[in-house]
Amino acid sequence: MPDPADDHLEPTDEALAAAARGGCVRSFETLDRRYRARLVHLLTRRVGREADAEDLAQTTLWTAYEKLDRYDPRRRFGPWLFTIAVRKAIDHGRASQRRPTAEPRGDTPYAGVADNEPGPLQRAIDAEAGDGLWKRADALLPKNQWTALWLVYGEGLTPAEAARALGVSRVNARVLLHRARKTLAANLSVSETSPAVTEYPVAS
Amino acid sequence: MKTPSLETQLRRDATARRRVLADQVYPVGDYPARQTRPAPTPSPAAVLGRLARLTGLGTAATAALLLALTWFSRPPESRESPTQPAAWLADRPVPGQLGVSLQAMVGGLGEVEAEIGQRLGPSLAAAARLPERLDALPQRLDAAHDATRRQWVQLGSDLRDAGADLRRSWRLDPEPPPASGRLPPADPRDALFG
Repeated sequence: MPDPADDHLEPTDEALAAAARGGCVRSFETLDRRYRARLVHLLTRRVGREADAEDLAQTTLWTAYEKLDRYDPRRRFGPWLFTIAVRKAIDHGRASQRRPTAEPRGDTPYAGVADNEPGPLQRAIDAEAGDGLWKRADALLPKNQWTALWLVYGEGLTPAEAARALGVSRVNARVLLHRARKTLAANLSVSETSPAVTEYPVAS
Repeated sequence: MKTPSLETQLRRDATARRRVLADQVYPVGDYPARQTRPAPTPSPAAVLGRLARLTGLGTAATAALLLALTWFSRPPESRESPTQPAAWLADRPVPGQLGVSLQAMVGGLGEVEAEIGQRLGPSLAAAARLPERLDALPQRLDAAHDATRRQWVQLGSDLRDAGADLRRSWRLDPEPPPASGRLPPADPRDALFG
């Protein structure tokens, strides 16, 4: 079977997924490189901590690799993968609610490490000046609104695909998008006469 | 200069963030080789077999449902024994099992004759022979259905005649219409039953 990863032209995600399903590991490794940082980015907004997001991104990619037989090559690969990622984040949130929060002991190596210390990805984002509107979105929007907005404008999903990824109805997804845009528009009109937002805490 | 729309700004700034994301380097997962299983192409026979199996299951399920519904909605079991008359006669009088009221009526005919001091009409006398006629009835059950029915029709006719004869003998007034509220005039012979 020809390896799409060797193709001179950039193979599509769907071609890579089809090849991976046929047994080509290199094709899925290419998909891993394309999507891992994007998954960490999305999942960080969902779960709050970048370290947890990295673990969840790994779990998401593993699950996708295992379940490739269920992937329909007629649909786009990205929305399918983000759907898995959002499910993993939801499961993680439920598990975190059930877990009792343990106080860090003073003699552990992690004592004194702040829980929301920005990870490498967040530091890189903070250093970027060209994504000002998304920094506002990071700071202002609830996570479902942020996720819907990012999936549509950042990842190029249709509202229907975003709805499926979020596990909500299409109408609900459109409402989330509308509210997110409304919040950002209101903030933009205010900030024209006031200093821009300079701190971008992780949305929780 | 015209300010770009919010959507344009969102897409433009997303491009900048996607550039940041693309610059990030993460270790790639160590994926094991997949067990490639060619997708099975079902033969027409397999498709037909599966269809038949599904259809058969559906039919069996429907039949089971119908049986269950029939079982639970069946009428209560008849208590008659094979030696008793057919089912359509189950509620009719049979020898030795005459209804209490019918036995009282037949048995009381003689008392009625004594009370009124006269013989009853022939129809009533025919009615008085009811027990014998009923005793003979089961022997006719093996006969044609029409014959048995005629027997019952005759019996009903006799009973109606007996009732008319009783009314003539006793000159009973007809029942007043329920709405009138008027009571029938007192009959001095009522004192007989005082």
